[in-house]
Amino acid sequence: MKNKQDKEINQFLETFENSKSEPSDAFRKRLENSMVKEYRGSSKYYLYFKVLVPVFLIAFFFGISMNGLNFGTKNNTQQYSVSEQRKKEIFTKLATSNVLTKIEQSIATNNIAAMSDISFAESEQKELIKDSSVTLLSYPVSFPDEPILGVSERVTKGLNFETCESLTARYAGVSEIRSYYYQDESEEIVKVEERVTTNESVLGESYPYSFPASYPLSYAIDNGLDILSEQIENGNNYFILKVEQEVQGCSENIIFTIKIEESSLEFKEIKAYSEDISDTNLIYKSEFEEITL
Amino acid sequence: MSEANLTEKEIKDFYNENFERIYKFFYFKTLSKELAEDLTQDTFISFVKIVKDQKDIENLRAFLYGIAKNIFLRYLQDKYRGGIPFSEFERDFENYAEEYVENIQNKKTLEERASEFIKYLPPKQRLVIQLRFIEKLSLKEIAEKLNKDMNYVKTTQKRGIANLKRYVELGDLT
Repeated sequence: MKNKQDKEINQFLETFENSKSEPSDAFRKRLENSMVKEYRGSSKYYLYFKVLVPVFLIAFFFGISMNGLNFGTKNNTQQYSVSEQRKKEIFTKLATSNVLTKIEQSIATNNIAAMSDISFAESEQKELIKDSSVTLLSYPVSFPDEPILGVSERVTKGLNFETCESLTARYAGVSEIRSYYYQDESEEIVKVEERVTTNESVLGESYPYSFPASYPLSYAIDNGLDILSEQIENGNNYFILKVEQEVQGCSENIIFTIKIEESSLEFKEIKAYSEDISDTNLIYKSEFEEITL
Repeated sequence: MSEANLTEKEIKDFYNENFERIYKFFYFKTLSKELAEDLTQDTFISFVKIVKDQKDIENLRAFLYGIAKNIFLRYLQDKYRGGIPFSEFERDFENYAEEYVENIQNKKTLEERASEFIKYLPPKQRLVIQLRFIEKLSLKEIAEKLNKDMNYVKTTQKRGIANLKRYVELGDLT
């Protein structure tokens, strides 16, 4: 083996060898013994299981019911996981409407940019994004500096889909004419260019989704559309749709959750997270009423 | 506790009939002996925990594959944070798993087996990996052929292999 790369290739190929795929006798025997032991298992644990677990479950659901009947001043929200059957129903409903198209339009360049102008709830989040290495893939989530005479400067983190390396584009512009300053990870400006349209090549390479570019929902539908949960909030049903973006094999993920009211199929809220869905990874949040679709 | 339907011998026989196929499916998906063992163990232990207390399972084999499917989906969801296409395993998982293992084992060469997944790679990664797998070019030769530097080839190859491993787990060979 000549070098580390050869080793890597060979290791990958070797995993497909028949001999490698054979289970070891020791494991086979060990698991068989574990199974038999489990099968013989003492019944007293099952007695506990049968008695205590139902009692616990009854108490648990009774608690939920009571909470559900609480019409007090607290926000009356209940969240449910969604069964596969329910998912099918929801997707059938979505498929017969233009909601998916709307999502695509909403997450497309102009609306995300517009959204980001108004949607950073906390200034710390803005700073967090500025300082972090969060890669925002192919669409611009921008955080404009103070506009100067109608010119706003924006910073977009993009991703080079071939190398999966992140890239920063700073651009300032009026209307559709924008100057782009491409920077590598060390913040060194590697290219400056001015463009009218934005869906061209970047750094001389042609990318499927150059940035700023529209969000490829059709890709997401094939690869990462799911329904996280269903929620009843103050008597209204919503489902929380998750769109996970992982483009061209790059592992950076931006996960959108889109709250849609079931009766009207209207968006109520959109959030984007980097990787894990948690408050600390929130990239932006917007009430959809503020967005023109 | 109700009496279980199966004798210990029947449990052992059932285990031995199905162990290898379940293990190989997990192995050819995860390409890891350790993970295959973990997932196989979870499958059979979950299976026996239910079977010993439940009399009315009509098709034990289908039931076992149902458990394997759920365990594998949970593994994928944990690893890929839920971002998997859920239509992938909606069909008959038992046949899917069998066909998957057979399809890989029917390929004669290792390159042929790995090549099944290369088509899913982004174009530039695909090109580099094809040159490495199929044409057996060295990194230097690939760099010269593509008029790129060695770092580009190394990085692209590394990304390509990482993606191949991902496609093996998530992809559909059948």
